[in-house]
Amino acid sequence: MLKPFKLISVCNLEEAVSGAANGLKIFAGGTDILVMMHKGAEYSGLADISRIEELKQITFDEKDGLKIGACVTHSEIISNEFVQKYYPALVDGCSKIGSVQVRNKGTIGGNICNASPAADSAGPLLLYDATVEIIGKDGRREVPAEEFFTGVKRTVLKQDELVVCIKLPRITEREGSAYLKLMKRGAMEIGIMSSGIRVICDENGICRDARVTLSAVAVTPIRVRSAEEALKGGKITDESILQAAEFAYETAQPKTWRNSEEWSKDMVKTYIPRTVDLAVERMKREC
Amino acid sequence: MQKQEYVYVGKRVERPDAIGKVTGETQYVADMNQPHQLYAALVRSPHAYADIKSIDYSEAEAMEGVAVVITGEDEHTGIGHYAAEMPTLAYKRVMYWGEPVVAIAAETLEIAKAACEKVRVEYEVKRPVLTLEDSLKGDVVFHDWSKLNTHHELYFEQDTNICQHVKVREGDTDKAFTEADYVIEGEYETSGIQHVCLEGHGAIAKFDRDGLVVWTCAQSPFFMRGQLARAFGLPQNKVRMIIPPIGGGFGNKWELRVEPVVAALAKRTKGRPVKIVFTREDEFMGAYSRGAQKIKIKSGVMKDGTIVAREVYNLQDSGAYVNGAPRLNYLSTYACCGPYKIKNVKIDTLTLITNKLPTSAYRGFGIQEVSWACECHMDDIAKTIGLDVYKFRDQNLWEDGYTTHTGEKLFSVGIRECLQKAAEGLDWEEPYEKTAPDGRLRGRGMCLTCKITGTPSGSAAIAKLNEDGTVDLLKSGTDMGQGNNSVACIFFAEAMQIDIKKINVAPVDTLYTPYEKSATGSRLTFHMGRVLIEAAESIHKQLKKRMGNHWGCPVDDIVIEHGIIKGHDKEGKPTELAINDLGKARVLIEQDPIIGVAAHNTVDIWDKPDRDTGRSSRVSVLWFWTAHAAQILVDPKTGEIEIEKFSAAHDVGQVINEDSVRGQIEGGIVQGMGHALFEELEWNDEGVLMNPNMADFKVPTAKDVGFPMNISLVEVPHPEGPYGAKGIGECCVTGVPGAIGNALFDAAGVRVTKIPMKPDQVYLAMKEQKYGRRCEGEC
Repeated sequence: MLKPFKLISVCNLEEAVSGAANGLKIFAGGTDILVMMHKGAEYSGLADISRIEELKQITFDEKDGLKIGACVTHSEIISNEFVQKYYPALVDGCSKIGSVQVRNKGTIGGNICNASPAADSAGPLLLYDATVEIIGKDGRREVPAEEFFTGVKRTVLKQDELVVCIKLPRITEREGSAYLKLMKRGAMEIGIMSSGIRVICDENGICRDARVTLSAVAVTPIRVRSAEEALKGGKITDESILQAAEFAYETAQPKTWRNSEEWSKDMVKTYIPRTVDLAVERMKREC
Repeated sequence: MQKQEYVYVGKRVERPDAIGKVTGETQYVADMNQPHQLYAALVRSPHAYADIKSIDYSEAEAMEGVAVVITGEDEHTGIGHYAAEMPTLAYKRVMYWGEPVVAIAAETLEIAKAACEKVRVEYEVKRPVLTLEDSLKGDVVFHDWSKLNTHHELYFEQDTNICQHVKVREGDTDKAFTEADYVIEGEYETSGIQHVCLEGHGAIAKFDRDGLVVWTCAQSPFFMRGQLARAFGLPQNKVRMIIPPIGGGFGNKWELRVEPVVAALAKRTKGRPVKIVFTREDEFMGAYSRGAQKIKIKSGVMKDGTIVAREVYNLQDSGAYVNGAPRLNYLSTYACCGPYKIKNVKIDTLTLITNKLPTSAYRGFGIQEVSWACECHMDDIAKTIGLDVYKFRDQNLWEDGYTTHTGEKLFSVGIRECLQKAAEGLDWEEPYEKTAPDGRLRGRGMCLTCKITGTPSGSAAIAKLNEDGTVDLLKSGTDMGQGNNSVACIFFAEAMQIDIKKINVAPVDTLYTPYEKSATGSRLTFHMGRVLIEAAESIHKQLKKRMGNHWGCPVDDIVIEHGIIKGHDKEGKPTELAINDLGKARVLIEQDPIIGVAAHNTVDIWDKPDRDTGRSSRVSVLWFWTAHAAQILVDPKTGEIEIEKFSAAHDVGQVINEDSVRGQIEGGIVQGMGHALFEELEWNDEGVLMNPNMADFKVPTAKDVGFPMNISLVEVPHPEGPYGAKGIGECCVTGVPGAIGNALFDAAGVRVTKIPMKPDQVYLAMKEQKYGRRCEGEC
């Protein structure tokens, strides 16, 4: 049962920072924190940042790319035309989070700060080389999304810090991306294994750059550089895809009681090729 | 029986409870509060098996706002169903993780919960027995059966953990096996699951010098009343059970659970009521569950497909105490060979004690589990011999006039028509692509089930005709969402030939509404229907007398047809009065009240089975017949199963409310799909439930149930049923796993022997089939 708790609605980032510095738990949509509180987690108080206007903006700029405020909800991300057009893997990820209700309340900032290895917005952020803008007592700093996560439920955030926004650079001209989530049922699922793919090709179809991510098979969402290398430098073929899948498979170390670990690991091999196929299909559709 | 034209029976009738439920007006126990009420909370055991060394609740008791603290030392009256031993609160030992140890009543729920955290319990932890095999081994024997207070006949085995052993012996299986062309064996398993009713358990108890009043969501108010009266030493008329609308039962609310603990607290509050409402976690930890089963089957079959012998050896989990599991054992034993003609049969069904959540009824009452085993086995046989799965079933089917292996001559057998209709619903004869364009494998499977209902049992109804011509119906079959109140109105309106809108169903209250066995076993439509028709007939009789007096017409000259009472006056001139106009005609005012009363029991038709052979010329008042068929796609690279189409054919005897019966079946298919693919209570080695929540105990979501369902309503009337009706509640779920499992077998050639068929298990089974075991990562 939820115990009585203190919730302070903060008006601006300064108040939020000083609240965090004083031990308040930063609170946005509450879809993770309230669950933890139901399970017995106790905080000296919650600092509700969901009314800070700056954190609720989602903007797109042809030069700088996409900027998503920490308190933008998953539903807002999914329905944003620029996200749909340029960052489809983020739509893939955010649309698989929980249920409609959870997506309406849950925020992207909350999703990454909760730092679940299965967080469905995290893999896509790694794909798009996103950076996380953080504010604290000492001002603002930026951290690449990949370095933001340090362990299960652990991030680089210091006690006085909170996430302001996430920046996704402008995508290139000839590229495709996708994120697939393995689930045991159609909704309300924590990912068992998720794979993200982004391929960037030249006009001859040579893969110039690639991103391969896996979620829920390590202590943080990860990039698999060996798999990226396997895709790069030539045309994307069945062989290069299989090679990438093999490297990803070797990297994956699922730890769970919820299902067979052998299955989770094998699914990497099933899912990497499927995700590449979808990413390539999207690239072809765009070009 | 000639099919009749009915006014209401078999039509689509709006349920009287529908509007309140969709608008949220309906008040459940959790919505109710009584003046000066206290709130209860429980301290639960963190161990599956331990001795209680000491309990220190002094700090909790001293807290402001705490009214009562009790432990098993204060209240350990047995409240178990079949054997009383299950205590209200754990006494000297805990037998499962989550067992209530201390109960606290306080001014607010917050105080009660906070007080629970102040209780210190010292345990001596012991190694729990968690599997059926370990329980059977009997290194630890938990109960001394000879000393137990058993409320029902129990076929226990002393000095073992076997609380019930039901046997069937017919013919000579050993001899038949040696003569059979094939002897085929299989072993199949089902997991423990929880009902996950939308509404969890909840109750309010008030205990004063007038006795005990309990508001609770109960499927069997009278049975519970008897148990509570015995537990608290009260006469039955000093225990009153008031039953508000119920948000789902599925067997979980058949037996006492929250009622004794709030009654025990209320007994110590000088008349202040005590309320408890289970959270979802409480439901998983401390309500009831469905026990796991492990079923071995061996069949002797001839080349032509005749089944000559079958042996079934079934282990069933009762959990820590003895509640409904022995009864489930008995019913499942009669269904475990399926609806097939087999001359030589040997069945042993054993119910065992383990250190797990007590098990009890769950929609289907063991029949889904044994159908899963039996029907997987049927396809395994067909595959081995090279028989068509449809024809193999069809040639062995029970039919009217056949005498079963337990000695019962059958009638009203609708199973063949169900088989035909279920197959038609899937275009069984049409060829289909075995591989989908995306590489997934397609398959079809079917599952037949037969089920009896608990017999004997009794029902009663009272119908009060008011002065304005309206009717109040008093009956105690509770409406848990299955639509019983609607069915009651239809039966009564049809029989009395009155406008259905003139009928009101009274809330169930043991002080006023008459005895009913329970809302379980798919029995209410049949049993309650009969008494409601009789009550209407009784009213007709009284109306004839009334109108005879009124018109000066001999009673024998009066007839009632199509809602019109027809007679003549003293001169012989025809007179008539519509039943719907009784109020307007003022023939009910200042007269002796017209009340229809009817009661019925099936004890006269029941032949108590022989303990050693299971033989009975009539084991049940009726059999339910069901055929389910599924078409699925399985992804060989992930193990994920998608249902493409589902077909269900049910012999309901006679449809009563078509909307309701279709709703029941659709809901049942979804629930059965959860059992087949998702749901499993997962315990770790310490006996701690790992998934007592909706995130990890997976029930289907709306996203999982987009597949089309073809539902066929088969009507083979039951000669003793009300308008020929049988019932529907449980069999909607019974064949779903079997149909999906056989479809998987057809699609991929792998037999997954345990439900749920989770994708990892399906995948690994396919991987093993393809590469053999232990080749992880290499293939």
